[in-house]
Amino acid sequence: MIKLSDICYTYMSDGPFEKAAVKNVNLTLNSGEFIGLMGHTGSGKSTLIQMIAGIVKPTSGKIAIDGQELYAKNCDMRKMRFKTGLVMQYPEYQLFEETVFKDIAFGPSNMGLSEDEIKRRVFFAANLVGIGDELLEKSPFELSGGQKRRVAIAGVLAMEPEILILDEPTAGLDPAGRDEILCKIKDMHQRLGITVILVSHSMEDLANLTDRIVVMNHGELAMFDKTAEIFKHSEELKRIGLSVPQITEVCSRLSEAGFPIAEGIYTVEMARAEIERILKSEKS
Amino acid sequence: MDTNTKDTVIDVNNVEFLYEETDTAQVLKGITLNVRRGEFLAVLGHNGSGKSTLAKHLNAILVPQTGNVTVEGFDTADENLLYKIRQRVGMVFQNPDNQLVATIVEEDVAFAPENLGVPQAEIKKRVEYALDAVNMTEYKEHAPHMLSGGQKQRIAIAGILAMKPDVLVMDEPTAMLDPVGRREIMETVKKLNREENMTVVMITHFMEEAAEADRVIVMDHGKSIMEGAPKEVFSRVEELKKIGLDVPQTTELCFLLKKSGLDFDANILTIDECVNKVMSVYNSKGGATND
Repeated sequence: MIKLSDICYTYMSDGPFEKAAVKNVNLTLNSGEFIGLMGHTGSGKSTLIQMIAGIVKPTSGKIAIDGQELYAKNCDMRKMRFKTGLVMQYPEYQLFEETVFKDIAFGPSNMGLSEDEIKRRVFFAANLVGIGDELLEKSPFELSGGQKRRVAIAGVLAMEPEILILDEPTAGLDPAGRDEILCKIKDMHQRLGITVILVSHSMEDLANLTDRIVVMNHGELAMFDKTAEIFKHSEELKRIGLSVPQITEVCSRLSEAGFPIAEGIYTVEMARAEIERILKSEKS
Repeated sequence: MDTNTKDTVIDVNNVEFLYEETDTAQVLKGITLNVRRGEFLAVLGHNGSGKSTLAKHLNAILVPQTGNVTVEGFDTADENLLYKIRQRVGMVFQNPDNQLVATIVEEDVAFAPENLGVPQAEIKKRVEYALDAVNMTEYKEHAPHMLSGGQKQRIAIAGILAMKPDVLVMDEPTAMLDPVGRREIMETVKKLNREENMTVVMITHFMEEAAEADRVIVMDHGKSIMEGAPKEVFSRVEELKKIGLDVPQTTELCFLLKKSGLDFDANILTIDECVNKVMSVYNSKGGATND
């Protein structure tokens, strides 16, 4: 469980350029949940995930992971940081090793694991993201963009984090590359039972994957609810520079026009089933 | 639309290209297309389909190994014509941070006309015009690195406009932006196309963006495989999915309903069209609750 209590983060505090990036955020995320995090640029999402990952220390407030408070006197920060894996934006820019194998092994090697355990983890992580064994001895720079990104994600997975945070893992990928990565993430979440926090600008992707969604606006927590509930607030989302999936917009317009469609539809498949049900029952 | 040479600004004729001789596959495999004056053309394709390589052929950053490209009749393979071609076709790339050179917005926009030897008074006019066209006049004395991604990208566009080109080519200009930034760029591009009559070529893999163009070309494996109005192109749902592209959710919904045996077509693009279609099917089945 991740519990944030009154978290604040201020850049350049006490100076002329002081800027509050995160203000008084209270949030409790359960273990094993698939959480979506959205907000416009500058809303504080990146600062928030960096604080959860133990990279940025809150200016005030407390973060507890599974009951252990970060930065407390008794807290082993090194151990806590291994609990959380953060995949940053464009993580493929961070690949640096001679071979894919060595790159994925970098994290686990730093954890002081045995050679055998490192090897097991590299194969396991590569397999999870769909990087075949034949690619492991190649240079990471010979791979395609989508493959490089999956190798970078594998490097984080090989540390076997209990909480996996991904900051826009599909940015810049084409639809096929995007679907491939998201499918792997969904699969990992189900197979490993880990907590996933996915930062995304794509309402469609968040709609398809998440259990609950956190919405940030100007450093504050604007909404936090089940995915279906969040997308019912299309006006509010638009006001803060976000949107709802196109399909949700279609359904609310249909409802306004007098079509007896159920509320809370946010995927194409849900809409198809519901519209088909109504149109076919009218027929008979 | 008429396709005779008078209306063609850029003509790409059977172009083949590969980066290194050792490459097993060509990047462009005999692509032929034209860009028409005043149109907003979108080029769609997955990563590796050759669309960025194509873009670089449009203003002689790359020249064809076979075939030829002409800009207003100038052959891009003729090095003596390089300046003429690059003045006519301006290019905006994906990452705004790689395209800004000065520390003040207006100086950045003035960079290209200064290099072209435009007189000072004219430069001033052009910078004002360009910043106004992208709606960034109030930021003219700001530092580019303090702006948002969408704003930076608009400054990059203004820098191109200050050269007074005939064609604006954009290679995935929104790929690194958030939804607000993407909207800003699309509004700017549409305004330039409509109000300033700027010919726009936009390379993208966002189908929502391509849906707003006048014409769409779909690339796959270095060739143009589909061409037409967005409505025609997107109605080919299965073919697009097969080559790793998407269609708008509205189009997909209607396509699925059609497959379920209902009276739908996949030539639906906008939310309005989709709502109207569902309502008309609903009403025709006697489900109307209002008159």
